[in-house]
Formats: sequence, C-alpha cells, structure tokens
Amino acid sequence: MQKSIITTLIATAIFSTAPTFAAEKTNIMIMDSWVRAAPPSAKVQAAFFTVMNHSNKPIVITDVKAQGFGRSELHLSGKKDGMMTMQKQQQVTIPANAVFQFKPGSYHVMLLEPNKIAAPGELVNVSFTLLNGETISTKMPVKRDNNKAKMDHGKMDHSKMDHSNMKHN
Amino acid sequence: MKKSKVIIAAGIIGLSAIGAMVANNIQQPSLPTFSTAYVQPKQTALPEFTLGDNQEYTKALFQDKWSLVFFGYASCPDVCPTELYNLNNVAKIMTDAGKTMPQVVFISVDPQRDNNEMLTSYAHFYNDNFLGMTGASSEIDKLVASFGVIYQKTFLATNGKYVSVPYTSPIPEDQRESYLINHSSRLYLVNPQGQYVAAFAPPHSANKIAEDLLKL
Repeated sequence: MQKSIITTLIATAIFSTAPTFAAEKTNIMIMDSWVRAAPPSAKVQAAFFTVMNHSNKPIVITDVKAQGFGRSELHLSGKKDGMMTMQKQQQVTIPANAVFQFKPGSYHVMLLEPNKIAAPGELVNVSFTLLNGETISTKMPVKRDNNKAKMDHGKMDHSKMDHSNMKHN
Repeated sequence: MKKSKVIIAAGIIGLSAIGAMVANNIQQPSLPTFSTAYVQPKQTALPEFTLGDNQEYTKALFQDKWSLVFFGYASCPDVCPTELYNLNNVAKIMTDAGKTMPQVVFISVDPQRDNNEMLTSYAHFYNDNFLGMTGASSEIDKLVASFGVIYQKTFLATNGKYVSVPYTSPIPEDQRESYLINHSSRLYLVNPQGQYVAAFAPPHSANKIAEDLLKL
C-alpha cells in the first residue's frame, strides 16, 4: 500500500511537472522537437519531433494538447491518388525499442485554433497522453526550420549539397 | 528475307524516333534538357483568368518572366509551408549564382477561408518576392484545369471516416472551419510567353530544382 502511494507520488511528480527528464523516466524520450514558424496570418502550425521508446513494449500516444492552441491533433501527411493528403490519427504507436520520427511530410502534430501564432524563439508547451493514462510534456522551440548547422548560409556551396537521398530511420 | 524485314522495320522505327525528336525540338526550342523537371509534351498556353481582390492578377502576370506556380491553402500546416520554405532556399541558390529567380506564385484553392491580404503576408513570410493570391473558385479552376491540378475538400464524418468532396460541395456546418484539402503538390514552371512547360514532382529538393532553373 505504502509502496503504491510512493509510486503514485513519484509518478505525479514526474508526469505533472518537469518535461524532458520526466519523459526519460517513463522510458520514452521526446527530442529534437520544434514547431514550424508560420506567418502571423496563418491559422495552423505543425510540431515535429523524434520519439525514442526505450522500453520493450510499444507505446501508444492517444492525445495531444498544446498551450496557446484551442485544439491539437495527431496527423499523418501522405500521398494518395496524386494528391498530398493529411489525416487525423486517433493514436500513434511507437514500436518497442524504436526511434520514431514526426517529420515534415509524415507524422506531425497539427496545432489549430491559435490564440496567437507562435513566433520564432518562443516555446510551445506540448503534452501527450499515452494509452496507459500517463502524460508527457515537453517544450518545443519555434523555428523557421530545423537545420542543425547554424552557419552563414551565404558562404555555403549549395551546389554540393543534396539532401534528396537522405534517409531518416 | 525475314532479316531484311526486321531491318526495314527497325529503320522505320528509328527514323520515326528521330522525326519525333526533331519535331519536339522545333516545338520547344527554348527549353534546356532538365535533370528532374518533367517537360510537358505540349506547351500549354494559360487561359484568361482574374485573381486578387481587385482582379489585379491576370494572364499578364506570367508575361516576360519565368514563373513557378504552386497550389495549396493557408490552413495547410505541413506540405505548403515546407514547399514555400524550400522555394526560398531555391531563391537563395539562384541569387548566390547571380541568376534571376523565377517569380513564385502561391495560389490558394481555398477562397472560402483565405483572402488575398492574408495570402500576401503568408507568402512574404517566406520571401518578400513571393506572391500569394486567390479568387473565385471558377477562376482558380481555369488554371487548375490548365495545369492538371487536382484538389478536393476532405473532412471527418460522424462515423470517424474521411469524406472527400469537390471543393464547392456543401459540407456539414461543424466542418466549415476545420476541413482539410487534398491537393496536387507539383510545382509548375511557366515560361515568359505564359505557357506551362514543365513540372517538378514531389518530393522537392531545393538543389535539384535550382539545378534545372540555372539552365534557363
């Protein structure tokens, strides 16, 4: 009995407060997250990130909420009949011991009904609900793109760059 | 005997192929050999159309300059921003190479939710030179037909399944703000004579697009 109370307390402490390290304790880690900057006149934004499931069981994300947005949904972009499509996902399963990417042109979190479009440099607090009822929160920075290299692009030799064959596994 | 027939047949096929190639070159004298862009078998002159609040965008928009045309909508969180961001990278490559970037024209197929003012600021967020516009669906559809674009409204029905309908079809009241749009994501190249001449199929790489545009 005492043990379960302690567990509950720890769980509460972990899941309701701090973001990133809490995620680690549940064997799930959300990293490399970002919200795509959008024009102030935009009506939606999208969040991308990488989920690492360190456990031997699949983890199912069933819901998502983002501070500053009336509604958030799990979405999947794809191609169908020659058109780009987007479909809301009731849940997304992260396979056991897997690294799963939410990335442009694929899975993403669609952020709708913004109080105000989040601007570059701001942080958006995003919470995920898992099938077991746990909640995981993380703060996602708003960026124009997710290029890791912060360099002077003016001096880069773009002709030698080709990202088209890049694999994201 | 049989052998000679085969040779004659092969000769005819060969000559026809050369003929077709010559005809093609005559028809499209101004186009370089592209690496990734799909050249249209026949250059398509764009029709008369009017877009913009004051009908300021017409066929004349495409005269005397190369253009890249993309169809989308402002409530599109993933594909359209990625495309416009990508096109800004193409513009950087072109500028660095001392070449003129074709004008970028982003046409919203969602006039029920988008307007020209917001589309202009939407396009400028990615690049000050990009144009964003919309208009009556009947006008948009003239261009849609010329480019062979397909788009449809799609929404979640009460049974939890997606239903796709033509854009102007009525949809349930509660879906009027939250519907999505499935749309072609090709990037269309229009020549300075206002003819649709080639298309870039997704996925789009800024470097590959630029590689072809640098040849213009």
